[in-house]
Amino acid sequence: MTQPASNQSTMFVEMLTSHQRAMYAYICMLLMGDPGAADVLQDTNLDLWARAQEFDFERPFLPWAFGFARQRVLAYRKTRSRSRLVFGEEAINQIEDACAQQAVNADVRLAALQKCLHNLDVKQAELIRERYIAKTSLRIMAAHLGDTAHNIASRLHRIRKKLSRCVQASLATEKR
Amino acid sequence: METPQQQFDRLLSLVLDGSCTEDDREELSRLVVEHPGFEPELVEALLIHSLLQWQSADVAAVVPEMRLLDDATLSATSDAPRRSGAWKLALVGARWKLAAAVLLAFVGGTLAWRTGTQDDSSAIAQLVAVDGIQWSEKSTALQADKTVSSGRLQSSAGSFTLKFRSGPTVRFSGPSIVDIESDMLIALQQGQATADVPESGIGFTITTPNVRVIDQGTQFGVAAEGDNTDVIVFEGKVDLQNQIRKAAPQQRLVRGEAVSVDATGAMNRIMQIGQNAAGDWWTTDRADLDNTIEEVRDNVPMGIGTSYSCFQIAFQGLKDDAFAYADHPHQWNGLSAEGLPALLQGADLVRTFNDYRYMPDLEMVVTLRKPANLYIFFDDRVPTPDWLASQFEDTGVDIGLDEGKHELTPDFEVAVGGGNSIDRICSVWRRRCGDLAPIRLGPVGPTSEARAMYGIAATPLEEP
Repeated sequence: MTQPASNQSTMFVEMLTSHQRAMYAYICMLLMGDPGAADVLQDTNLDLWARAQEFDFERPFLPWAFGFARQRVLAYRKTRSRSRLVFGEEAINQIEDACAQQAVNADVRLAALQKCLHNLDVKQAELIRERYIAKTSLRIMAAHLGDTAHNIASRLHRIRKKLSRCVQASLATEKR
Repeated sequence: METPQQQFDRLLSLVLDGSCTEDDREELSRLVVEHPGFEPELVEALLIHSLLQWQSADVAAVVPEMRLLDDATLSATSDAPRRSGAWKLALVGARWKLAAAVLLAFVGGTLAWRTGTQDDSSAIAQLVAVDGIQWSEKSTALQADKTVSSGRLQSSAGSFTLKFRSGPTVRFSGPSIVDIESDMLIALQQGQATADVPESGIGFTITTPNVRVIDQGTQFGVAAEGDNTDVIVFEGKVDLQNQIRKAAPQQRLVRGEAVSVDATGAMNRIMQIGQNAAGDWWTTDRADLDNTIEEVRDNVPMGIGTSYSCFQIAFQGLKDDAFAYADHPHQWNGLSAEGLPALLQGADLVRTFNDYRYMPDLEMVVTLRKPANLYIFFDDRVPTPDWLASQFEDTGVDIGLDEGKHELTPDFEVAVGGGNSIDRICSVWRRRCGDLAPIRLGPVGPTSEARAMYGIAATPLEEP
C-alpha cells in the first residue's frame, strides 16, 4: 500500500483527527444512535488512511470522508440485519443528506450544546448525566426514581428537544 | 388513540434510549417514510443524541489514538499495523485507547460540564489578574467574588486575565468587549485576546465578526478592531473558519504565522508584529512601541508553505532563553553561566524563521527607526557570505543557540539559563548604522553541514 509523503501524512492525520466529531455524528445519526457507531468510526478511519493517497487536499475533507463512512454504515447494517435492530433503508436514504449537513457543523453545535447543558435544571441535568455519562440503563433509572422506563424515556426525549431548541436559538443568535 | 406526533415522540424516545423492540424500530421507520415532515425533528434529535454520546468518555475511549510513527518506533510497537513507507498511521492498542488530541477537548469539556452541573455553579472562569482595568457598566458577566459567568465583559482601559474552567488562560488588553458564552467559547467583539491553552482546552474557540479561531493546542492571539481581525500563533496551531466567506475551506495557522481577515473575508499576511518587553502583549501598529527597528520585510513569495510567516519584533526582548525564531522553539543564550554579553542584553530582537535557512534567494530588508547598532548572529558552521562580510564587522563575540524539540530534532530540549544545552555557536556581527537607510540581508548560504537561520537584533546608538 502506497502512503502519502511525510508532510502530507501529517496533514492528513491532522485533518482526520480534527474531523472525528463530525464523522462520529454522521455515523451515529445514520445508525440511529446504535452503540456500534464508535466501532464503525474506527473502521472508517482505517479505510480513510488506506486511501489517503487519493485525497485531494484542495477539496473539502468531510464529503470525501462521509462517502467511506456511508459504506461502513451499510456494511454494519448488513451484519446486524439478522437481528433487524437497524433502521429501514428507505428511511435512512430519506434522512441521509440532512444528516450530512448537520454533521458538517458538529463542532459548532457541540460548543452550543455545552452552553445549553448549563441551562438545564438540576433534575434534567441529573437525568442526562445518568443516561449519557453514567450509562445507567433506563430500567435502573426507573427503579431509582420510582417511575416507569417508558416515562423516563419520555422525559429524556423532552430534554433532548429542549437542548435542540436551545442549540438552534444559540446558533441563530450567533449568526446575527 | 395516539396522534402521529405522539407516536413519533414515543417511538423515537424508545429507539434513542435503547429500550425499543424490533417492532418499535420498524414502526418508527415506517412513520418517517409516511410522514416526511418528521424528518427535521428526527435529524435534530439524532444529532443531539450523537453529540451527547460523543461527550461521554466512553465513546472517546474507543476512538483510536492517531499518530505518526517512524519505522523504528513502529517495529517496536507489536500491535501496530505494518505498512510500507517512511511514515505510518498507528492505531494504538488492542482496544483503542482514549487519545487523539482533539478528543481531549471534549473529554475535558465533559468533565468541566460534569463539575459544573454537580456543584451547580454558573462560574465559567475566574478573574485572576487585572492591570489598570476600567470596567464598563455593561459588564454583566463579572461576579462579586471574581468569578465570571456567561455574559459580557467590557472595559475601556487596562488589561485583565481570565482562567477558564476548561483550562485556557486568556489575557485581554486595551478597550475590550467580549461575550463569554461558555468555558470553551468566547466572542471577541473588540480588543485583543492572547490565549494560552493546555491540552485539556483544545477546541477552545474565539469568534469575532469575521473569523472563528479554534485552538488545536497552542498559544495564540486574536485582535478585533473595526472590520478587521488579526490572528497570530505563537506556539502550536489553530484552525480558522471564515465567518464572511462561509464556503471557504478551513485554514490552519501554525507557529509563527499570522493573518489579518478584513471585512470581505480576505486573509492577508501580517508581515510583522511588535511585542512588549514582558512578551504578554503584541501589536500590529508600529507606532505603539518604541522599537529601534521600524520594519523587517522579506522577498519570500506566497504559496510555498510560508504564506503567512510573521516576524516578531520583541522590544528589548533579547535576554537568555529568549525564543530565537518565530517558527521554532530554539533559544538564544550566552555561552557561559554569565549569560548573554552585556552589549546584547535588552536589545530589540527580531524573531526570524529558521525555515528560511535553506532559501538560496532570500533577501530581507531591515529599516531602522533610529540610529542603531544592528547585530547579526551567524552560524559558525556556515562560510561567511559576502553580504555579511561587506556590511558588518565580526565583533569576536560568540553566543549560543539552544535548540528545542522540533520535527527534525525530536530528542532536543531547551535548558534554562546561559551555558546550558548550547547546540550551535553563532558569531555576533555588528554594523553601526548612523542613518536610517534600509539594510539588505541575504541568504544563509550553502554548506555541507546543517545550518541555522541567522538572528537579528538592534540597540539604539547612545546619544552624543
